[in-house]
Amino acid sequence: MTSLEAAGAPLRDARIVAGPVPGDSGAGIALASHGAVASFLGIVRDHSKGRAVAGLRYECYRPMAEKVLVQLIAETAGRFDPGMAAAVAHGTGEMVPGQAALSIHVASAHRAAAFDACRHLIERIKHDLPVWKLERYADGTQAWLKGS
Amino acid sequence: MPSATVLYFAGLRERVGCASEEVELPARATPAAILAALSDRHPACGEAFACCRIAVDCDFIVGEVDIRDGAEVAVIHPVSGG
Repeated sequence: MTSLEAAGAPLRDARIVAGPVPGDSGAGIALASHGAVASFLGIVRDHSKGRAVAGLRYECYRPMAEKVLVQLIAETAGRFDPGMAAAVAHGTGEMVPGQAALSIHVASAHRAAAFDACRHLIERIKHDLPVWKLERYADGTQAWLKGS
Repeated sequence: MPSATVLYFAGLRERVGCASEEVELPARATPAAILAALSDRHPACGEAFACCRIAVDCDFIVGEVDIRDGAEVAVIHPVSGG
């Protein structure tokens, strides 16, 4: 990830990736003016509604998902901190428990805006990002989730 | 009437039985009108369509919009990312 600090512009990075998201996707997003980075990772769980989960498959409407992520970051910055930096990535395809399907990193001058913006982004992503989850259960069956 | 490419994903794709199809839609249409037209084509999916949103060329639409020939109309059933 390229630092834009020299240009003085906060980084806004939104991406859909193949497989789980990279663990270092939030590295270096903070500018010198940012005193806080809040991060959220969405991790594949090994259980769902009492059933053992062996893995997941995420399907995505990619062009729209990329556009929605950019829009949600802009919306969040407008609401909490126009100077915030953000790096958001959502994975696609097959994953197993323990892997990260989603990463959100927000850098802001102060912790309150960083936490609030991070929380806002995950809730909006849960509602609007065109991504769907197929759960593969330990007993060999599978099912698409009905919303989340 | 313009012909649009209608997209279905994940569980809805499996229920409808295809990932995309060409559908003639009114030149001006609301999400409800689009979903009604799709329900006529796929009567068994009417209940599934009831909880869907519509995106035209990658933007969710709310009210009435223009549907151009060749538009990409995505049927977005409840998402489960994150």
